[in-house]
Amino acid sequence: MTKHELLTEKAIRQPSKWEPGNFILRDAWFPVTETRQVLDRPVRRTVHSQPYYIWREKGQYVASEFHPAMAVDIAREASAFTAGTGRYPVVEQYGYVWVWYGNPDNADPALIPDIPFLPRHRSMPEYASGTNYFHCTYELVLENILDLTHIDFVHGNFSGTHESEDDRISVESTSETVTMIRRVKNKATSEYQRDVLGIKEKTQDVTAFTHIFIRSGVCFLHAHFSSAPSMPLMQTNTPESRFLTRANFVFAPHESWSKPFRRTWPKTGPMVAEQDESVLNPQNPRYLPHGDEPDCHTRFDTAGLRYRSRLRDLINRQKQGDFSYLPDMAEGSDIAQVLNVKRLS
Amino acid sequence: MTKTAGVNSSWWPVALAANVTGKAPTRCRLFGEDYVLFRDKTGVARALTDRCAHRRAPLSDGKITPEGWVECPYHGWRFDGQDGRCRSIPNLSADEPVPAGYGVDAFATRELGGFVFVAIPPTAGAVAPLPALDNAGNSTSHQGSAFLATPYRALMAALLDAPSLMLDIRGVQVVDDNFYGEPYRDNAGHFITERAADWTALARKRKKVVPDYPLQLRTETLPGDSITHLALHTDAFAPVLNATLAVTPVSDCVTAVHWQATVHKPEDPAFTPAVHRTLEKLDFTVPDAIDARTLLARHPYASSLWQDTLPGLLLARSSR
Repeated sequence: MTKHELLTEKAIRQPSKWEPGNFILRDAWFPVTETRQVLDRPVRRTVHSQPYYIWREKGQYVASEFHPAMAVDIAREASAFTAGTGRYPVVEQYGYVWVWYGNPDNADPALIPDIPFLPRHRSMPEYASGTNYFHCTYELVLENILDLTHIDFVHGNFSGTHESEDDRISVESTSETVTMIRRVKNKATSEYQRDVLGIKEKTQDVTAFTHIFIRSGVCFLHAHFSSAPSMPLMQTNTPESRFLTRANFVFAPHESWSKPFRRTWPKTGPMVAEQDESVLNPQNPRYLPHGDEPDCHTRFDTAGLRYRSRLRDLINRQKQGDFSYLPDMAEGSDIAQVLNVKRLS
Repeated sequence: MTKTAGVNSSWWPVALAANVTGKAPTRCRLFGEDYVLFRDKTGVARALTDRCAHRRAPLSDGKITPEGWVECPYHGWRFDGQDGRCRSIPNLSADEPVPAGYGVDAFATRELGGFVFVAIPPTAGAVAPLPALDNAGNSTSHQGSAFLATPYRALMAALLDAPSLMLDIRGVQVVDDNFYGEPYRDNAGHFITERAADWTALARKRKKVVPDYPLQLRTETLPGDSITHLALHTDAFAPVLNATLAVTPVSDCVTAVHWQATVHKPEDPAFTPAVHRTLEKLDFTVPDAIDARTLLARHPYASSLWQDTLPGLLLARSSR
């Protein structure tokens, strides 16, 4: 058996049962809205079907189970998610309002994902951000993000087709995160890079990264091209329900050396998301009633399989009543170094 | 209860043959399950489960490769329509073969009468035989597909009790309740109804009860129930319209009707100028909805006889 076959075999041996959306992980921070979208009038958000109404009150953010216009007996109707107060723990960071889903006693702001390329206490320009919807569970969105080969087919016009000289992936993970790095030699330059950015080279070397936070769904995507410019992206992937994922996104244009690219690339966000939606939307009903059917894998699915495995470990711990964050979360690689970006926070 | 409980056929006419091509895959749904249909390099219609074995993306959103395989839109995995085997996975290097056993379910197909039939394995017993159809359907002048928000058995009952609701024959109205004799099942298992029909242009002008209608409509539902032939002819048995309806259960509440029809232009000295004008514009289609109030007003005579004479029921009764 060749080395490649052994790698494939290892991927196949991962447990096959995969039932995305069947268990809700608790105790996590979710960046549910950009701060600029929250004024005095409450906005409504949902996390795992739990209602969140968010507004500003005397300059402070409030996240409540109930709209202020609702006539409710809070003491009687408030849930354990707010410990009977009706109000969730809420924090403003990286230009987003983060709300806690879980036991409020465990809501430590230090557990908010580290986003090195975003300033901690201000927002990015409005043109660099937006919102997309994926009509599927957030587990499928995260698997899609960790799956860097789909880019060649679904986003080939933006990132180039699959032809290359060499194509390798490596995966790192902690109990809370999974990171995938793909290194491709002489990958075809994309239509967008050639026709819009004016890149002359027919091929280029590419190093692409994705990094996901299992509980909250927050992820980073970045790539370094030997010829074309690039910039990192943070996407929130908030699980509103098993059928809807809200993906607020923000680019970090300051990371790009190309001025025109800084303004034009964020505009592609909805187009890229539409391409993903074309596969994620029909994937959802093909998983929900068929969880027992095994999937087939290749070595390129290692990150996704690692995610399934880490997710399963978290589920098993939470089923046992353990909602804590393990120390290995802080022991992972510095993601700013992995992504090769300037740390702003 | 299984998804196929209460229906009789295992071969299902899931698409018009003309709509299954070697240029792009297409999707059909049967009992809530999606199948991808396409033609391979030799022109044979193929049917596979419409879920990629890798990450379950719909193969029907993909493309057909020069080898005649269907390619998944998500990661480019390619599947052979003959046996469902995965033949190629892009990104893998030349020394990484596709593991044996990677593939999707493949289903037998047959092409008859201008329809593509797919054999869905029955939960018990053998696959029911295909209906006897010639390939005259390939030369029909009209064809199409309608999708109705009506359960399969209810739609079959509507077709038998109130064909006027399901057959939109321009210039002709079917008189649902005027049967020529009682609907019956012949020795070959075909369920047959014959009833009156009228030229709309003449019907508008009539004020009295019609002693003899000028047209007759015969329906013949083949064993298995999914295929029904229609023959509209004059009282002198000159053909006006021949059609074949292929009825398939898409899901619990949606039924597809794929149809093909040939319009004729008979000559008859009894035809008035209004009838001649009707024949010039004669057209046929199946609407996407049936009128529930009209259906309620019809008696379920034909459908109850159809139910009572289902071959399985007759067998059960004779063995008592």
